[in-house]
Amino acid sequence: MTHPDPLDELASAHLDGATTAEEAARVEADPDLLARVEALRAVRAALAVAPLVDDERREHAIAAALAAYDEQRRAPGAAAGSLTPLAARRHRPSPRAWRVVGAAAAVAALAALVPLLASLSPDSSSDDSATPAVADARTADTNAQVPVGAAESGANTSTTGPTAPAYLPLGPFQNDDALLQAIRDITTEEIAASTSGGIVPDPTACVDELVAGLPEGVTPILVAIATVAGEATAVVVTPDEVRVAGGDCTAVRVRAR
Amino acid sequence: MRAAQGGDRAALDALLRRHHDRIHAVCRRLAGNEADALDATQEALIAIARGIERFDGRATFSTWTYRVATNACLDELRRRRRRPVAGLPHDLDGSGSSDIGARPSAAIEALPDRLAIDAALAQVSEEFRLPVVLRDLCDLDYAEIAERLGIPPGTVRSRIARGRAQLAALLGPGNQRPTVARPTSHNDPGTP
Repeated sequence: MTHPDPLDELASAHLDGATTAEEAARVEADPDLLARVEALRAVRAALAVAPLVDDERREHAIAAALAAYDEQRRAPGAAAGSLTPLAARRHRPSPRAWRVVGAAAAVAALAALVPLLASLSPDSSSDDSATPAVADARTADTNAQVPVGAAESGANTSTTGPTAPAYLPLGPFQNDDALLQAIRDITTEEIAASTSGGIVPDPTACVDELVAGLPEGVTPILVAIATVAGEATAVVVTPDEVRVAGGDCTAVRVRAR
Repeated sequence: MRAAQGGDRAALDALLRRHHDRIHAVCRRLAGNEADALDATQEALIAIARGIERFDGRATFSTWTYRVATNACLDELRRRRRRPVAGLPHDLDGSGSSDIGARPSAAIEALPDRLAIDAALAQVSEEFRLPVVLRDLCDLDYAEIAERLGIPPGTVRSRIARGRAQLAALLGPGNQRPTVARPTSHNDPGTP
């Protein structure tokens, strides 16, 4: 890979307001550099020019979205407030039978993994600050969150207790790497051999968004909650990758599984 | 928006129409070609429709839709990378966007128009295009871009610089950087 021209990089950083005071002074004092900045500003302006939109395509996309909305509101599990078949929440339900099987397997895995993960989770005493987030999640009031499957109006207004949508607690981890290692250590056989256990509500309000953001045709094999560096974090595992998000869900971290 | 959250289908329809073109613009610029942009736009609209009841007002609705669109498009690009590719990607062979007849950048001499921008973006590799678009169109800062793309912030800064420089060169004489006869630490003919 080649490196950018240092002057281009300086001009570009200046456009972004990402230069030091010294660098900024250098740019401001150099007409050539200022000209570069203006050229890059023109590129930015060019990118803001709206691309052409085909009316038929627009209608098609909107119709597909409305159909997905209708389908979600019709979903039997939407008002149930219980664990929802994950694949049923995918963008475009596929008629292919394997997806139904995949959904059932995903739900079974969710209900089955706790004993395994109890032994898999890192020593909680090593991260005291992180532990309460998961523990508290077991009794968290989910009124502020929209749980998986609670799409019908009012379905999420009283979802605490045994019928609350819930996810597997993975425990506290120091960082993403530790979380990933734990996830990688879970084998399919171990998932299948596990028995049911406790599950927790989503303290992050990110799980739903993570699952909804999966590529078409990709079914999660594990949906869980962890605490990473003290932050409640949603975790969605697919056959190929692990997606995690915490905070306000804006930063989805995608790592290979 | 509240009506749509409450189950009003017509309100959702209106919301989607209002935001469609802007979402498409984000996806079009990120994807670099119309086919992937259309898929990503549809995925984004579906995600918005499915997730609108989850929108909690912490950000503006526009910001939220932007974020959903960006995620959907990046997902589409990741999915595309995983797919087996038969032959050249249709927009990386210099022909530009297939549906709107984009021209080769060499033919662009006037102020950049839609086709010129499409053609230029199609010629900038994804490695450089994504950070530029996330910065210049989506207004994400370096740290946010680094997190979205899984690269260090320093790399974001250099890739944005390269991407912008390539686009400036591709978008015609009016946007080409001034010729500056001064030595640099790199003598790379591939660097615009």
